[in-house]
Amino acid sequence: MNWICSFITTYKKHTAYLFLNLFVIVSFAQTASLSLSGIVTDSKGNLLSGVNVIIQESTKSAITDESGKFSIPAGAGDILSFSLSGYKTITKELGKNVSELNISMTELDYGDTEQDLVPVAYSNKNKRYLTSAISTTSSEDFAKRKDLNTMNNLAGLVNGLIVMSTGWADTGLGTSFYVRGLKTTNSNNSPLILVDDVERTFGQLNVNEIESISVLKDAGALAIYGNRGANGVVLVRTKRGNIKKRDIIINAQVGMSEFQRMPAILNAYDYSRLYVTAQSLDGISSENLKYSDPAILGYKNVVDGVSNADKYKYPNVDFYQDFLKPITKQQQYDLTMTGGTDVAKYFVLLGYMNQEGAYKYGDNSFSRVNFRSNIDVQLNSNLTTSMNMSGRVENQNTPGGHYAYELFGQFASTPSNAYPIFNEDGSLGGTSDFTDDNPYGLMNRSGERNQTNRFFNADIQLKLNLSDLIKGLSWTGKGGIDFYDGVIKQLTGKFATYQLLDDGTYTNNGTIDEAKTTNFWYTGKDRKFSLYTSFNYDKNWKNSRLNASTLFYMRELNSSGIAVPYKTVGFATQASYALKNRYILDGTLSYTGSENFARGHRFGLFPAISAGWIISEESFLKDNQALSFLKLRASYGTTGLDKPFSDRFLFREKWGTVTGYSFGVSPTYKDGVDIVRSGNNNLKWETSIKSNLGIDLGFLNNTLSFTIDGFIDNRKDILVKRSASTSSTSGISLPYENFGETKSWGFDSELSFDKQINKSLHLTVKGNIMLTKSKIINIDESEKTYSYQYLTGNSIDQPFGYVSNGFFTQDEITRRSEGNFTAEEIEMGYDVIQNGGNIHAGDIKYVDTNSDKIIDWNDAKAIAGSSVPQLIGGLSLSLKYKDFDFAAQLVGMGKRYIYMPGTYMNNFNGGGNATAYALQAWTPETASTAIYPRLSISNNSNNQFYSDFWFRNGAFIKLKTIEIGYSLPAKLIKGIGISKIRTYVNGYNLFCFDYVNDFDPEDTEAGFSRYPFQRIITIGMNVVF
Amino acid sequence: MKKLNFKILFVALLSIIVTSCENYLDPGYDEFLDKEEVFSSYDYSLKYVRTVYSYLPGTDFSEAFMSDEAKNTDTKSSYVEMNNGAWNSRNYVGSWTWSHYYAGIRRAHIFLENVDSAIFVTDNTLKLTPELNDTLRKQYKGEIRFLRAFFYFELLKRFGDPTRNLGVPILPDNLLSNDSTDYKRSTYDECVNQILIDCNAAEKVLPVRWYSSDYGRVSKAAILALKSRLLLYVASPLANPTNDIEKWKTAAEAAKTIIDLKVYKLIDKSTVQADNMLSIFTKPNNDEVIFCNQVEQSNSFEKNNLPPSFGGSGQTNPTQNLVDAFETILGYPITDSKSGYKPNEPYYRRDKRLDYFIGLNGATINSTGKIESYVGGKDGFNIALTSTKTGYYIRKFIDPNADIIKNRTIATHFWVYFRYAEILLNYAEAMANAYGVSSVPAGYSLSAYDALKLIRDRVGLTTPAIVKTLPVNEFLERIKNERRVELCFEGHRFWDVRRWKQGDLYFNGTIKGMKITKAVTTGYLYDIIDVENRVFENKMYIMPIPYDEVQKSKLLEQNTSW
Repeated sequence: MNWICSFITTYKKHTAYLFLNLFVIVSFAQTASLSLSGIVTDSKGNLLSGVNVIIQESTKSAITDESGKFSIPAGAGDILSFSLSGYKTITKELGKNVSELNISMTELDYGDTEQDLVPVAYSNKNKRYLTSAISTTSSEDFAKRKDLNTMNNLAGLVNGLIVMSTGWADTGLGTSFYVRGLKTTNSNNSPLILVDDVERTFGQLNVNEIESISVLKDAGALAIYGNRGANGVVLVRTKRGNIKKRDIIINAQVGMSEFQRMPAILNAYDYSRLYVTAQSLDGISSENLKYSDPAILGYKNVVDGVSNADKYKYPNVDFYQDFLKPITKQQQYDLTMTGGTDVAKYFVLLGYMNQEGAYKYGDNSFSRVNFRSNIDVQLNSNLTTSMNMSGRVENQNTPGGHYAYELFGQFASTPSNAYPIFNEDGSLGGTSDFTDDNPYGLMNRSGERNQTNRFFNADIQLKLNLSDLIKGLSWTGKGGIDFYDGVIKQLTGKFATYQLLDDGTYTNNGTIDEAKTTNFWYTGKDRKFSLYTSFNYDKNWKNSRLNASTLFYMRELNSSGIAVPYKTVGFATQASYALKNRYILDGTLSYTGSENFARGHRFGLFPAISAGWIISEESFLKDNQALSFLKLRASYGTTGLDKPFSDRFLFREKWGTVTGYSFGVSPTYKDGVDIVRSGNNNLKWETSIKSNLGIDLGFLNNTLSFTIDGFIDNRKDILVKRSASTSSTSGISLPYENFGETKSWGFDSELSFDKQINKSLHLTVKGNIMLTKSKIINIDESEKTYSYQYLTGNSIDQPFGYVSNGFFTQDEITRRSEGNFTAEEIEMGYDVIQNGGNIHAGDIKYVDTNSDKIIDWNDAKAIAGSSVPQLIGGLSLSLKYKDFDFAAQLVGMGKRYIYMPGTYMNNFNGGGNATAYALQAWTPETASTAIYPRLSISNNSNNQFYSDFWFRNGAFIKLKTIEIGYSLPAKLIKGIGISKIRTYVNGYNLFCFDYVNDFDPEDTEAGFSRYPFQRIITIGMNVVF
Repeated sequence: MKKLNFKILFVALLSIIVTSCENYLDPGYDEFLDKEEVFSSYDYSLKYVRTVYSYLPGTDFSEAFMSDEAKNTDTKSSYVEMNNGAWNSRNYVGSWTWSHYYAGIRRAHIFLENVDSAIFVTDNTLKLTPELNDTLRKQYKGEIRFLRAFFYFELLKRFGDPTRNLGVPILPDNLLSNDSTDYKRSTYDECVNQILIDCNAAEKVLPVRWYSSDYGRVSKAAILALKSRLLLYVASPLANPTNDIEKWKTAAEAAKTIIDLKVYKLIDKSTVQADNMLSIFTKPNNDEVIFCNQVEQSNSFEKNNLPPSFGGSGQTNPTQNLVDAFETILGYPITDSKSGYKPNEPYYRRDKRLDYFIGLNGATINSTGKIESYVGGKDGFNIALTSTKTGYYIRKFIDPNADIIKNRTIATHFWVYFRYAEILLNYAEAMANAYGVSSVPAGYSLSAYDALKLIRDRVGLTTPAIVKTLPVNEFLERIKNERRVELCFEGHRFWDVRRWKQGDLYFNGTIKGMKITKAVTTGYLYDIIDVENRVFENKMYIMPIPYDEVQKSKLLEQNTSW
């Protein structure tokens, strides 16, 4: 009872204290104080300049000058801290009547700084004692990226993590993560994402509330996650308060964004001109061509801007230009308060972001408010509590209620000459070929949609020191709740369009204008609950140390629309033993269960073992001047993947509602019921056996460090249905079985150089590179006639298709119709029957892989490769010179292939739209220089075959960021209560170097069904009070 | 002792934790249905019956676009390859039917295996007796057996090769739910036999015709109609190269059984004249339709097929080849000098069905107005991508009540599988082959000629006396033409031409269209134009079994030359 009372009193006291801190934002109340001065030196007695001297929980600070001197107003009881990059921070409480203080600072060793604490599952670990492969990036690096989606901002920054952005949807969503490449032939290759150790997303978190993002890559780090760790884990840690002076930080930034690359659509003149060329090449006689010569001239006049041109009869619309703003505005403001004492620490953030919509018409924008309050309170000497609360509200307005894919789809698929946006009489233009699709109508006359998503998370954690019971023992308990709901309010209307006929009258297309209707619905409601508890034991002996913990966790997600909540439960125990500060042995054993499998097959054991040897501690290396750190690491163990796709309770035979049938004279449709999935009680998770070998190196007092890891991941028991190998005569699809197998391997490495070159110049260079490969060892496939047809043996996601071999020449077409080929002609494949029907000169010719004189699917073989890169890299440079700072970040991907966007491939197909590629297409005149096949308005299936012709090298290097900043000199702002003012200019997504010019290599759909990537120029200011 | 207790406690505690965790992860049994639940509930048993029905073919025009009936206006559709000869076992548009009908057959098997536990009477039915439930079980069993037979027929018609006596695989009874199946093809005769066995068993337990809320269920008449069609196919030249007369007699007999029922008849002349024969296809439970797909309220047919200026996609463009098959009102083909056909007034005094079935230039088809398919007219060539390519639009099945422009969706549709007119035509064809043009064997009441005349009289088409005296082979061509006209767009032509072995004659060559130009003064000028060149090869009499299916099976033999 006593204990509880003391808890409450302490809690009250400190809460009150905290609130005082939070709301009395800047306290200028100067306590009576003396002036303290002194000299700072290093351990060898050299004078240190630039040392930051602050008084905790105040706004007072000072910096040592060139002779190591400082002076600061301080009084008895003040806590001073001395910090300098490369040295251990020193804290000192000032005694009575002290006016002079000399400090000696010691240099840092590997693993000594706070940054050297690496996040691991449920805790942090000193880098020195780490035996597994984990890479981390801090907010300092990714906060320089200005993407709305924080997930996109990680590209190239974390060693071993592939980040692929899929253009921007309206809300900036769309990122795929792959840790060390593709692993399974099933759809789920994504890592588990945890924010503060709870399963949450972080795409819409404010970059300034995130402390670090780490990627856990090997069995040593992942086994603890049991059947959910196989694809890796991304751990996000939010910022917490530190024991230091109280900071109030205001960030403000305004950005201007423009679309980087737009699809190159033909103008009306080129469209009509080439359309008839295509028709002629199809063999359509000249009197049946769609556009007459005067009509083509009409389009030409409009395109050339001839003054009396009839733009209503001969419209020329550039949809991208007419419906998108050239520049949109992005703003972000946030206010952070952070600080702390021995007793209580806090981090509070309030942020607002607003992205102006890109469409010219209709109400469109996206805004977001984020808040976070992370508080740690030491309640008594044995009990610490941490409380995290965070939330956000996202609000989006969409014109006409149309998603980006609908509007961009319209821009991309409508020919420039299809119709004028407005007819001469003011009505909306349109044709029966493009009913209801006038973008002005879509944006302005078909209503609007407002979507609001609200998120709220709260965690509370208690940490109880049980040293009184057993020395070194502690207990941690944590509970969390997450709420989400989303609401859509939509106004829907329909509009009519009108087409001008030859006789000057208009014909109405589609439905006539209708009254708008309002709808309101919830898009979802989630309630998540998580629980975590662990006992930890730490013991240090003279020569060795042991750290052990045993833990239990569970999670439950209730979502509207699902009957049974998603559940996760697991136990794990871990131990780490270090001997003589150089031999480290870690072991993990977890026991986790999954709802996806049958009773008796639910739980599994996932062991891992890892070891490290710090060779630089050995006597023969200890005094080496150049090599300051050398560690060898190795790990081996298993993890699993229990949800290779979104389907649940995979073991059970599932019956459900299917299409039914109605009887009776008047239709009374009723549902049917059917087996929708066969069951398999023996089903289990996919098993991943991971091996990792790593070397960590530090040179020149660790200013230069290098890490390289080689890995092999063997994925077994992949869930596969035998459908490709089973006849459809069975009439029913077979259940999943655990028989697929893949292997992936590669290396990842990172290099970092961080040095204060001289008094005024600080240089940091970081780079990483990863190369991976994968191979299918076993998969569901039928027996093949030719060995090159097997998926087995190829990489995961390997495309199969025809191999192209240039275009047919007119000569060959003529000779083919004559027959009696010469030996030389047979050598050139004149006698090979092409499977695409009527072949004309200029059509794509394919290679007869199996030499059976006919081109059919038996000739398809492995071509190009996956769009998920096998090679990734990132390079960041940052410089600080006096009050200026500069940063540049490059991101690259290689060994990947992309399939050309449909609009580029299908010029005029079925009378559809055409792109600039049509200008380079084959015609009898351009036969020798053409790089695209013959144009055709019909479905020229021969040229559409899935072949290497349409694949492009998808490698690229993007200049993601350049930032130049200037901080006002400390002298200038001294005394006005401000400790720092920094202004900066930032360019994001500035350039892309690649093999394609007219679309984005990272996401080929960008501009066609999604927002194109945006280039953003931002100016901003940080003020620290 | 103390140590032991601790161990026991520990083990007990551990097992409690592990068990409770297992329990925690149990989904609970409300999440999914299972088989036992389905076949022990009134609601679900009936729903399962509906599931099997749902595998019946729906409105399917694809075969019209691959025959000489029509061209699909969509130039990027897969019919381009189907018609230019570039199709194969990978892209045959009917490939889906293989897995679709086998899925239907497997579901029929599952039903028949579990029907004994199925419940078909609700608790609140006053007459809840085991006997009643038994009767209903038998009835549903009959319906499902017919459906299985129908599915096999659809497979056999496509993939069966009677010339090599190769059918499709027949699934054995009592398959376990997870059995994988790789079966070799049964013979053509075995398949025919299997269909007949199911039909014969089913016809005993089902009423001749269903009414009101049961309308659309399998009846005895539907079963007899399937038998009639099957036996006609079996007797036809493709499957009967030796022209075994017995086979024609059996086919004639099968058609006769339906005629003798006297439950179905042709809808009378005045009714069909009043609404362009639409009552057959849009008024449920009429006396002509023997079996059809579910009745639906929808305007999607109109949306797909009305001309562009009517808000439709002008999908089906009837060919000049088909238009030319309609005789003149005098009852002669337009090629016959006695027909009175005038090429400069091609639609004048023709078989009325031409106007009923084909959307001709100038026709008023709904309140939106007239079709203008002349060059420059709002539905003429090249006005829109969906404009006609042949000069014609389809009119058969189009309900004038459905107005796309005004978004009125009042239209009743159902896809007819069997109607009495087909039975008469089956009868006429089989009778002529078996007994000659006008003979009426003992026990029969109609000659081939009589049956043909019934069809023609109903639309007011004269049958010249000379027809009765034609030699059998010439008379047969008249029947074939009658079938082509009367049953156009109903999914027959593609298969009829094949079973007659006349692919080369009708499907290999040019599809024609009509270019209609406004004359300088009044009226129009008509020019027949080439629209598309069609390729037919010998192998195309039989459809290719889907590539993947042959690839993954060790036993399945592909059809010749595919």
